Amino acid sequence: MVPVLEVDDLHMHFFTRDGVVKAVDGVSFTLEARKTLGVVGESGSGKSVTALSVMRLIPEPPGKVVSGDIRFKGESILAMNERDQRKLRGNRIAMIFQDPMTSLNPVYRIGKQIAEPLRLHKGLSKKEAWVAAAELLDRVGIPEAEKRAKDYPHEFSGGMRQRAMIAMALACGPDVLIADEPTTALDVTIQAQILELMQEIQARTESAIIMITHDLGVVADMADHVLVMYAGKAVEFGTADEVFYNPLHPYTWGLLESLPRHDVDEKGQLCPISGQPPSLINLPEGCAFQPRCQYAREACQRRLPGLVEIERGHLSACLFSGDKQFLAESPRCAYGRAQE
Amino acid sequence: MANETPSQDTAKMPIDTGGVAPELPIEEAAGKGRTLWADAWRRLRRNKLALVAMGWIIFVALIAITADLWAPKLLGDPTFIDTTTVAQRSLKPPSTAHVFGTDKLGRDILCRIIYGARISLLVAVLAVAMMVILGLLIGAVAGYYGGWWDAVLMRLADIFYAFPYVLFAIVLLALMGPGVLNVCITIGILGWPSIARVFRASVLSVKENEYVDAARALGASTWRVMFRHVGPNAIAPMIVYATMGVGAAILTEAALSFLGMGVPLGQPSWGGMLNEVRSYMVVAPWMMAFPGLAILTTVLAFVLLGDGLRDAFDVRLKE
Amino acid sequence: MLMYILRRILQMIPVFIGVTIIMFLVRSPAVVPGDPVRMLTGERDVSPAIREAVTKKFGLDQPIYTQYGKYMARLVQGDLGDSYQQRRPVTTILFEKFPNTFKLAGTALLLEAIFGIAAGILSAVKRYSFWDVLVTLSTSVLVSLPVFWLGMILQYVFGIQFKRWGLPYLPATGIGSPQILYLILPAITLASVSTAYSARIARSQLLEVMGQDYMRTAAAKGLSGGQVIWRHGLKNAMIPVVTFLGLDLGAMVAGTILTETVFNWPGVGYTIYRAITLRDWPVVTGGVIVIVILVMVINLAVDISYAFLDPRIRYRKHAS
Repeated sequence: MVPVLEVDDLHMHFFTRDGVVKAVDGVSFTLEARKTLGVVGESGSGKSVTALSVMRLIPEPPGKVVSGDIRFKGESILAMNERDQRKLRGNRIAMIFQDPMTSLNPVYRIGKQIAEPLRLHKGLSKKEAWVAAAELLDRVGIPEAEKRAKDYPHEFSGGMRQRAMIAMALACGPDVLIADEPTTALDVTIQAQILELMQEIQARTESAIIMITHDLGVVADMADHVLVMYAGKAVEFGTADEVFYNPLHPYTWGLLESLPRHDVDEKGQLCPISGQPPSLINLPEGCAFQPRCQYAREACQRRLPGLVEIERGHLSACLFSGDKQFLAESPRCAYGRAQE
Repeated sequence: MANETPSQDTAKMPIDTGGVAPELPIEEAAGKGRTLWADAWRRLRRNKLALVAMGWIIFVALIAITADLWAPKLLGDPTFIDTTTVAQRSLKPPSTAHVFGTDKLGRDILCRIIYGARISLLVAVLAVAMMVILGLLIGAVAGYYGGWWDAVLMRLADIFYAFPYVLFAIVLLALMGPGVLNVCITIGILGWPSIARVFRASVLSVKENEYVDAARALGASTWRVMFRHVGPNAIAPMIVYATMGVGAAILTEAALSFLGMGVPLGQPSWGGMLNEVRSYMVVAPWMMAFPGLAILTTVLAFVLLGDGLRDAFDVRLKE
Repeated sequence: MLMYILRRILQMIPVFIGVTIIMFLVRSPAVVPGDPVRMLTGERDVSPAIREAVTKKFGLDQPIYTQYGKYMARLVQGDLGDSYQQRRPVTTILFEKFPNTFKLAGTALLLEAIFGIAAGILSAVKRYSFWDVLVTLSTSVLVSLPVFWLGMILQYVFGIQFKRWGLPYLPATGIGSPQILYLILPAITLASVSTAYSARIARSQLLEVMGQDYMRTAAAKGLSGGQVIWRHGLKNAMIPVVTFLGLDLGAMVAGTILTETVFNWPGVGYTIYRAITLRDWPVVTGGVIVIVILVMVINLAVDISYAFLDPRIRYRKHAS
């Protein structure tokens, strides 16, 4: 089966006055229908830029795809002209953003904003689109949808606004839904509701979801596959099980270890990853994570590790991930230890 | 113009604004071994346009101040009318003898422009000084003492604000009669509300600030506190305001003199010269150009300098 | 919403009273030098009998607050007194002249709106281009330009010089028919400085809006760049611009005095100016009061309209 979305060794750089920012520096993944990909990483790791690159929303100066490809259902998006790309946007590939308050236009009614992609891509009349919009609002769980469609964004609560954004994204029945930190700006209880909604929608439609987040908890619930990013590079890719229970990259270990443990009665120490992510203009030689890595060896400073398939479908960008002894000697993550 | 702030979304790579620094109170900035003034000066120096503007202002000011020393010898007396030769010398176009030509009474126009600069600058600076002092006092009182004082003074400011500027100025001057001092007073009186409001806002924001309470807890007197804390923060916008204000005051004085309400027509003033031009526009159109250009360039210089100062003082702009 | 309007009107009242007090004092003997009786009788010496009659009639022998009271009483009935010079009610004179001022200010506002907004939008969309630099610089220049000088130059070039060269020319002064020809030069003059301001505001507003998240959302829906700006950007950006234009109308009505004088345009500003030179105080104070009221009303209208334009303010009671 042809994967719905393929990103093939993508390099997206920004050419600025101060230097070249290598925002995305070698990211690959595949996405199949009905599956969810979780993309995890710190701020600045390039997760959002990757998503925006797929949507072709990065302004092309100063950004530029230096190499690599993005394929939608086998066809290269990068090779398409602007008009064809726009036909995909909001239609076959849709995106929702982090802050629903600022992402909705305050001077237009919600119904109108949801109707817009329908009118644009499906050619619906104003009336038809409005009716469809109200239906969509209902489907995402807004009570009294027909009435509330006439409201303005500021009259909705945060959770409701995010539902409205989801409705807007789903309007044309996209094959891929990209969610960029959809719950970060919301309360914890609302978070759960939104995630549940997204799972529900996925079950009903055939959409694939890309869930970008820095919250591993969110990923654990929803993702089939996980892509871990650091400093613009993909450092690990695998199924959710593999990444959580058998992580191969020291950065992933660090992420998992830094999670506060929920099961302790006594207070333990938090183990954050020390240091700061590197500047994307001045990347260190060799492995980007090496300055902060507890297990770094001399080779890490010299050689740039690429994403290598260690086990079937499970890739890692650490030079030593294939080394059984390395993995055995270095402490495993909390989840792994719990299994033993 | 619009200063962009970084959003949470990392996708908006901070390219244009380069990761905006949070606004530092003066104390912290000073702690780094640089004062606000040094920083601002450095930034101002990089703004070529503002530097040119400042240069022009200094040039005009110097000429105006030193005029008595050299102008009469070179160009003749700006007010003296030699009645014997008036007819031959009046309304001459620019020539080597008279670089800008002569006016209807035979006086050299360039000379009158130079002396006019003196009046315009003098009036503008005095008026702005008056406006600023008045505005600071009132703003400080209103902001600090608050309550009844604040209400009354701000209402008063509203009343002054409601009056159309030029109209009221004309009415006042009609009552007081033309004259340099009267013009200064008029402009000063009409301008204080804006300054008072801005300063009052500064005072209020500092008043709310905790470190004022902390200072008071340590025993500092209220005036001292105001001085030390409000002062530096508020002075920067005041300087910008004052600079722009001088530009505006020059324009206002020119307008008033043009209407015959400002500087008496005997004394050379740029606006007054334009008034004289009106009757002779058909025969001596060049007379229009010079006073107008003088006003334009000088005011423009103040405006550009003000813009530059504002950018230089804005701690939030990227270096 | 209604509360908001009421509150604003209430705020206006003390200001209005303050204005009338000042204008009254300006006329009163305490401030104006000269004998009020002489002023009222046209600067002639009069016999004691007539003097007494005039004093009684105008209540000049009464304490000042009584005079003020009478003054206010007449004011709210619409009586602004009679012109010394023309011996006609001030209100009649103003009534005649106001339409001309409105025509001038209205035309100028239209010009300012069209050109200013267009320039501002173009400048924002094509940021850093030649056009943007041009607009930014020219706005600085326009702001520093003495309006009356511009008027004179336009008068000369288009009124006098064109005529000499045998080109079609525009009338330089006064009013006649077709009125629109006479309106052009003064309107351009009046509009010039304001256009600079409105261009600046339009530009900065649009720039700010372009950096907003909802613009990105619009693009993510598949709209083209132009569609994004046109449909989503402009409406947000223009709200403050429209507000500014409204306020500017008030400023223009008040500021026509210079332009009207240069072009001898028979509007209120010119009338007040001539009244000052002729020492015709009732016209002066009456005119100023009416203009002040007009400006206050316009400002109030602008405030209210802002509440209507921005849905966030209009529907405040629904806020979550």
